[in-house]
Amino acid sequence: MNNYLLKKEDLPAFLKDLNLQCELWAPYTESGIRFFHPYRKGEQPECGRSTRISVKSFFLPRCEEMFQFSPEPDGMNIQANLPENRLVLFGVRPCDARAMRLNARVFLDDPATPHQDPYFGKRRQTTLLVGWGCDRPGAACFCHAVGGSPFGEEGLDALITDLGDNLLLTVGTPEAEKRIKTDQLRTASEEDMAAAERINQASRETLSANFNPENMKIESIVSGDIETLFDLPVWEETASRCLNCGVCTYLCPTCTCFDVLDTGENQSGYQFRCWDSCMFGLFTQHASGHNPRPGKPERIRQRFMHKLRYFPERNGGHAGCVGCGRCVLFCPVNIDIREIAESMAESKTNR
Amino acid sequence: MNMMNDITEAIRVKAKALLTEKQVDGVLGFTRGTLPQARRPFLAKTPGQAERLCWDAFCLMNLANFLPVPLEGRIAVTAKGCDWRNLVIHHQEGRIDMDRIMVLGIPCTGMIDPEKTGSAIDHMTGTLPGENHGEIVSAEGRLEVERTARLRQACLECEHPTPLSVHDWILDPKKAGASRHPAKGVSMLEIEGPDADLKTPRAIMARLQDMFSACLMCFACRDACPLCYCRECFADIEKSRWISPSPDSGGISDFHLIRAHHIAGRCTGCGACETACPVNIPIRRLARKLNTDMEKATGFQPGLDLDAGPPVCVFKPAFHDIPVRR
Repeated sequence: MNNYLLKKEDLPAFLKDLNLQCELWAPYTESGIRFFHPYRKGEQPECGRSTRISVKSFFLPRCEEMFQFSPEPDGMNIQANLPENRLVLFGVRPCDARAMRLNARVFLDDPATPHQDPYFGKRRQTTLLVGWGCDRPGAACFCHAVGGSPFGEEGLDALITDLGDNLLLTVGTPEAEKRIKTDQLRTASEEDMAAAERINQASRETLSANFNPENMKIESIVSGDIETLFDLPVWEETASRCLNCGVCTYLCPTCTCFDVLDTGENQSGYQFRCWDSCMFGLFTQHASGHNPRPGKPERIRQRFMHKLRYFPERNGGHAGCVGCGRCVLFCPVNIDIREIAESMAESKTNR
Repeated sequence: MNMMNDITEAIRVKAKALLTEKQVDGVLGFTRGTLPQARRPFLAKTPGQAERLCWDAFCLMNLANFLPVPLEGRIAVTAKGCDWRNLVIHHQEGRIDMDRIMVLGIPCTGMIDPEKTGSAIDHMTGTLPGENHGEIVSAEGRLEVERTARLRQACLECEHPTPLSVHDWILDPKKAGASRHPAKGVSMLEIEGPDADLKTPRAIMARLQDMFSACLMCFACRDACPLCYCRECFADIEKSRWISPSPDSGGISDFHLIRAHHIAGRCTGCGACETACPVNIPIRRLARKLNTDMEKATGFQPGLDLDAGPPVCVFKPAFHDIPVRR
C-alpha cells in the first residue's frame, strides 16, 4: 500500500488523465439528484456524498442482456454478451465499495456452489474503484454499526482523503498502481498521515454521536432462536404502514436479487435479467398460484431476516448491510433497519 | 406560539378524548420517525398512544392509503384537504363506508419537499418548522426555510388544502392561514417542457419516455397512491405480462401511461406518488393533464362530493362533448 499526496488544484488534470486511459465515471448532481455520470471536463465531481443509486448498478445493471439465441440446424446458437469496457468509478463511498465485496460473496465466492457469475465477475475485473473517504456522514448513516468504517478500504482499489488543500491518495491494489499514474506525485509524509487519521477519527465520532453501534447487535440476531425471530410482533407492526414498494431493495447496494426472462420471436431472441425485489408478491408467486409469502409481514420478515440473520450466518458473521442509510432516508414511511435490528436482537435477551 | 405545535397538541387532546370515551376504535395520523424529517402514518388505538400523534410540515403521505384493512369499527382521521378528498373517493367507489370514518379536519398550509432542502437532507439533525417560515438544522448549519420555496409542487398547486365537510375541526379554518393556491390547468405543453416540438404524437411520446427514463420500476408511486387499490395491478399480472421489464420494450412508459389513465378523473393531485418516487419523476403531471381534460368535458372535480359518482362510472347527455378520437 502506498500513500501519495495530490494537490487539490491538480485534481482536474488527474481526472483528465484517468479518463484518457479508461472510461471514467464520477458523481454529479443533475435535476437535484446525485448520480454517477460519465466524466465531465471542467466540472468538479461531488465526492464524499452518497449518490442516490449505489455503484451496484455498474455490477448488476437494472436490466442487462445476458445472451442472444437463434435456431441452427443442429440446435441453438447462443452468443453471450460479456461486458468489455474498462471503467474507473471515482468518488465511491467506502460503504458502497464494501457492499461490492459482500456482493462478490454471492456472485463469485458462494461456498454452496462452484459456479461463478460471469457477468458480475467480468465487471469486477474490469472496474477500478477509487473511493473518497466519508468525512461528512449523514444522519441516516451507520456503517460503523455493521462492520464498516467511513474511511474503510475494503473493496476499493484506491482511497482519497480530503486534507483541505491536498488530497491523500492511498493506492491499495496492484491494478490501481498500474492504472493510476503516480510517478509525478510526492509520497505522503507522516504529518499527512496523522492529519488523515484525525479526519477519520472525527468522522467516526460523528457517526457514533448520531447512532450508538451497540444498538445493532448482529451477533445476538445470529445466535437468537429462529422461531422466536419468526414470530416477532415487529413484522405485523411494520406491515401496517409498509407499502411493499421496491425503494429499499432497489436503492440498497447489497440487494442482489434478479429475475431472468426471455424475449424474442420465432425462436430467436435474448435472455435478460433485471432487478427484482422480495417486497413484491410476484417474487415468490408459484406457477400453481400458491404464494409462500402471501402478505406484507412475510415479505418484510424475509428482507430483514435475510440481511441480518441468514446472510451473516453464511458469511462469517457479516451482515448483508453496509449502513449506507439509503433505505432509511428514502423509505416513504420511514421503516428503519436499525430499529428492526434492535427488536430482533432484543428477542434474544428476553428469552 | 408556533401554530404547528398547537395543532399537535390539539390532535393529542382530541384523540385522547375520543379513545377514552370509546367514540372511535383508532385515530389515524402521523407520528415522529427516526430522522428529523421523517414522519410515519400511525394508528393510535389507546389513549396512551394518542400522545405519540404529531403534526407539522413533514406529514407527507396520504392517510387514506393507511386505513386498516378490513375497516372495522370506527376510525378518526386527522385529515388535510387531500386526505379527505381521497376518503371521499373511496366512499364514492364503494371501498369504504364514510359512516365508519370520523374526519378531524386540519386546514393545511402545505408540506415541505425534503428534496428541496438541498444537501441538508442527508445531514438533517432537527427541524423547526413554523407557520410561514422555519429552520432546518443540519450538520452544515441552520438553514432558514422560507416555506413556499420549499413546498412540494403538489402543495403549491393544491386547490383544496382544507376539507370541505368534517365531523370536527382540529383547527378552525377561520383561525388558520391555509392558503388556496389556484391550480393551473396543465397543458400537454407543460408536461413536455416549453421548448419541445410537441406537434406530433411521436414527439410527445418521445418526451414522455424521456420523462420516465430514470424510473427503476420500484412501483412506489403506485403503492403510495390511495387510489391504486386494485387487488391485482395490471403490472403484476404475470401470465400475460402486460408490462415487460425488458430494456427495449417501452415497458416503463407503458406502466406510467396506463396507470395515469386508471386514475384519470380520480386523481386529487395529492403528490404521494412524487414524494414516494426515489428518483424525482414528476408522475403527477400526467394525471393532472388527464384530469384537466376530464374537468373541461364533465365539470367534475374528484373527491369533493360524497354523492357524486366518478365520471367514468356515470353518463350524462352533456358528456357528448368529450373529445373522442375516431
